[in-house]
Amino acid sequence: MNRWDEPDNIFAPLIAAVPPDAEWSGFGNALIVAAESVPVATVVYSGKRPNSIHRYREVRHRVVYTVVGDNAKPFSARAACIDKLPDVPGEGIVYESWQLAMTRLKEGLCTPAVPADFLTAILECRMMRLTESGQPCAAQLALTRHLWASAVRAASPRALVFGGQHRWDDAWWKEIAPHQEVSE
Amino acid sequence: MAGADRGERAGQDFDTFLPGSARHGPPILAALPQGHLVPYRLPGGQLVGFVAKSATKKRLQPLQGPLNPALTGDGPWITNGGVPAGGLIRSAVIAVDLHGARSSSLRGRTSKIAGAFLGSASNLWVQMWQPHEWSFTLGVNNGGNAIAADWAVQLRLTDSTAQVSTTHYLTKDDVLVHGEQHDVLRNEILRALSLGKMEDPECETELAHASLGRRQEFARPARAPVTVDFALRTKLEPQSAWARLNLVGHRLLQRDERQGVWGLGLPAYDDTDRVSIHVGPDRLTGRAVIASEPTLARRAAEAGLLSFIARARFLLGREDPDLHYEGPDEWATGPVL
Repeated sequence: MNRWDEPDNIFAPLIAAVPPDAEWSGFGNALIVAAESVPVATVVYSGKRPNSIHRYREVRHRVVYTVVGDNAKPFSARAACIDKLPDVPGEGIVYESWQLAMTRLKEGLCTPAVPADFLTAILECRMMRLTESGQPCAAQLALTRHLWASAVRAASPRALVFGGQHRWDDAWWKEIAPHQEVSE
Repeated sequence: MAGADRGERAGQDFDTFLPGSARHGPPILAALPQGHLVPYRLPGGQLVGFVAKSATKKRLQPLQGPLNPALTGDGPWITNGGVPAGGLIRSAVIAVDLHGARSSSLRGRTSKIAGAFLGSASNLWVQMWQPHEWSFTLGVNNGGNAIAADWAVQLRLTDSTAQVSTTHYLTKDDVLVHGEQHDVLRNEILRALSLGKMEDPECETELAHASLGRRQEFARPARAPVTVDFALRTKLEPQSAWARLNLVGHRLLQRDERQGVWGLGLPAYDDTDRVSIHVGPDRLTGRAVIASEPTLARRAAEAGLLSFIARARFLLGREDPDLHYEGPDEWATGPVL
């Protein structure tokens, strides 16, 4: 059977499967490590807050964090890219660029693309924030997907990953030295 | 009270000079017969008064359409319908043209001039709550950790229908703000789910290409190639230590009874960026090497090593509260958050 394949679509879901005898960390731990391995960039926000005439300027960390357990429901785990003030927890969706959600699938759900006894998971783009110039933090999204898929493939030579983008191209990541302002 | 007076006066001053403002509305409407349904437009092209209000209410009514039978099925919904339906919904979202759309977090009575200068490029938040329940919000960050929404649309899918409803909306002069995008989004979603096919199957890939390769900024240059030696003192038996290390989540490249090697960062650089752990009595000895050429690979490997050490300490520490880390302090901080 031809498996569904959209190698450059960073929004399409990824299906990953490992054979039942594979000794590995599991889909959730792989997602945590994939998120933590994305380099932390910085971004400068400036603008005006409600009821204030003064402009503010703040440097935020662009990090990918994960949520597992009850907080991730109805999914098994979630990863999100957020522009976060250092040492300030619990900020809302406005500073998030995207979210990935991972769900363990019941055995046999993806047959015949996946053998019936394989452990299977789906990684979906659960939240996206579009602007006129596209999806912000798309490189972080592509890198997280790539690292998760790589961890799955490393679990076993028989592991399967297919669906949306999971390859990586170094050209997707460019660095600049000076601060670039993001106005709200 | 004095503040309210000042605000009112300021508004009147602006209204005196700007056509299409609330100040001009009542006299025009008073001249229209009751129940007049032909939209009246000011020179600026805006609908005004109760006529506009009626038209706005009409465009905010929930809409329902059929769900293409190919998207439903007898089996579990997530694979039979959820994946293709998600693709259709995203393609409809991408069809919404956000170019030039600007939103403002200002609310209430504000001047045209202030509104024109303080607006920012609009954002469209797309969120999947369940495979059959989505929400779409157009607006901007209000600067206070919340969305200043122009409108929010909710999509619910049942076994045979798709329903879109507008849950929040903002009007200006009784006209829905960014109503064009609102209508396009709702209509495109219903059309795509009804037909079961995308207008432009390549739209997501094109959007991805346009979004990738943006410039990233960092607080400091990438670290130079480095070798890090560290150790974890533990009373755990080797078998127990291995059981915990198997959960670490990094790519396991090699393993025998005494040593394991994991890749750090990008898999393309596993030969140069890796960490090894030697399991000995009372002590796990680690050595990490980060020696790849590209700065991204070194940055990812550095983040990966911080993650590896933090996770190894966490996982082993759950079994051995007396676990002790020996090594450079800068690698003991865990991932940057």
